[in-house]
Amino acid sequence: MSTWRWEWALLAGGLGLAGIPAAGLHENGGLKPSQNPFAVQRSGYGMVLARLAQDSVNNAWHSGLEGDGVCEHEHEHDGACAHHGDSGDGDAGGPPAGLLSVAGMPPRSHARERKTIVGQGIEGLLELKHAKLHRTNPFGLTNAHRNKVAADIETILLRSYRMDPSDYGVYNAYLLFLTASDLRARPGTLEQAKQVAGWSVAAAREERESPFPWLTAASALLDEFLLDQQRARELGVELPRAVISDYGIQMNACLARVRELQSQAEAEHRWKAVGAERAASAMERLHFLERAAQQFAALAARAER
Amino acid sequence: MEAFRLGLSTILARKTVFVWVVLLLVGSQVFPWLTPWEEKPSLLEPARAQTAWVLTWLFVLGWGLGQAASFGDQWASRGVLEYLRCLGKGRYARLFQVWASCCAVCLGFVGLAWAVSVITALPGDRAEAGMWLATNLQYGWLLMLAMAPLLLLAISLGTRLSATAAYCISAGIGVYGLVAIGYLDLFIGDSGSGFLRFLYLVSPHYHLADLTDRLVFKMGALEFAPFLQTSLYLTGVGCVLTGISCLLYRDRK
Repeated sequence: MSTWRWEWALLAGGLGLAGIPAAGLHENGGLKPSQNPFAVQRSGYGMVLARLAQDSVNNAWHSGLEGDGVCEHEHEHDGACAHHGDSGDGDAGGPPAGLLSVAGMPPRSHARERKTIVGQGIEGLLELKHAKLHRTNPFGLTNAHRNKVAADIETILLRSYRMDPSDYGVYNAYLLFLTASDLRARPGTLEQAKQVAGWSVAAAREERESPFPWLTAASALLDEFLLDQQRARELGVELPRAVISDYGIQMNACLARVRELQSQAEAEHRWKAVGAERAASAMERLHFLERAAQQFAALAARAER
Repeated sequence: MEAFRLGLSTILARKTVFVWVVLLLVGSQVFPWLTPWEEKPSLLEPARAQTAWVLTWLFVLGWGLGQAASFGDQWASRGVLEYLRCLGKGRYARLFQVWASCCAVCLGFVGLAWAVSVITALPGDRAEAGMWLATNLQYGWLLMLAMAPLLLLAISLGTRLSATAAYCISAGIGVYGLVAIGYLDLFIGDSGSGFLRFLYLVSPHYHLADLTDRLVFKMGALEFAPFLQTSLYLTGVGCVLTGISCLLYRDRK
């Protein structure tokens, strides 16, 4: 047999050899890529990337609300975030405040503290980037542009969230974007928000060392309850007593686990490594959630059935 | 085995491979310190294994394919392959000896990654340790099954095109099968196009050889049936690429 026939035989044989198991793998879904190459998401590296992404998450979040892409003050994006009040401002019929920069208003000046040369260089590049997206058309914002802005912001938030669903910062930013942002909040996205909260609760279930994922889970349970309450209000019904009690039980269980793992971390001298600022912020959130969890018993008692 | 010895001595003389070895040995211990391991010490060991295997992929896709393409280009241009033909070496003997020199180095690197993963990241529990060993063995086997035919393709393409073009094509196929095919999967979900579905089916699914998530999330080794199916599938893809490589190969440009 000539070499040419061997090569074509190898080609044909290879196609057959690959085709039969490929069909079997395709049937049981084994051929489907995992969308998580090299398992970066939810690994230790994913956790680091989620924390490092806080700045770009904050910038993306504020791009949707304030439009300048830079927040001049430090705060957490919780339900009491003052920016929620900004999103409805503006003249009737005009673009919401969240899209001021894309509607032609100049962006705010950045913080006045002296920056290094590198900092100034980065700021200059950011200003060029904002100028590229700065809308100069004085006429109304098109739906297509609005949707593009929303999709771009959601891409950044979702990418960071996928890195570590148990990280409070990225979870909260994404949830608030789905529920409170003018660009995305719609009746349909509330179901998506509930699903996101559910994923963060599930992400904590396997955690046996760090209290932070359980703290995020407790926040996510509170968010789920508030979303359920909102939907019930819209339907003109009340949440059943059993549902309210169940949320209370789950939240208390998560908070108990937070206390347990925090004590364990202190005993093993790991709590110091968290950092004073992060520890203080976590304790503040823990106190807030414990006060919130105490209300469930009273709410359940007041519920009609 | 003149071509094999020549290839291997060329690789060792260039010393680039030793830089990668140091990067693997040191990087697999140092990079995991970037994770929040002080808060959660259990992150450290899976991160070591993850780093070792990711560096192995980068080594094969970055260095391995480049070296193979370079051999094909330079040896075909300078008449080395033609000289070996004059010595009476068969067509396939020349091609596969060059391939074997690149493969041997890549196999050594895979072995090193396996050793790093097993020695520095082995779970304490006996049952989990057994699963860890098995998963790492499966990983090494599937990785070589996926990448070895691409090395052959890079050599053959190098005998026809420049080293850069040969590297770009073979590395492009590798990266496509490993990462980009995930995006194609998303598009198929949205559009349902018949052409895209056909393209998806005939594409090389190298992501099947990426068992990093089984190590990081401690999912245990692949069961025998899917492991055998995956091995047969990658062997089939390898045979197709081998056939194409044998058709493309020539001794002189």
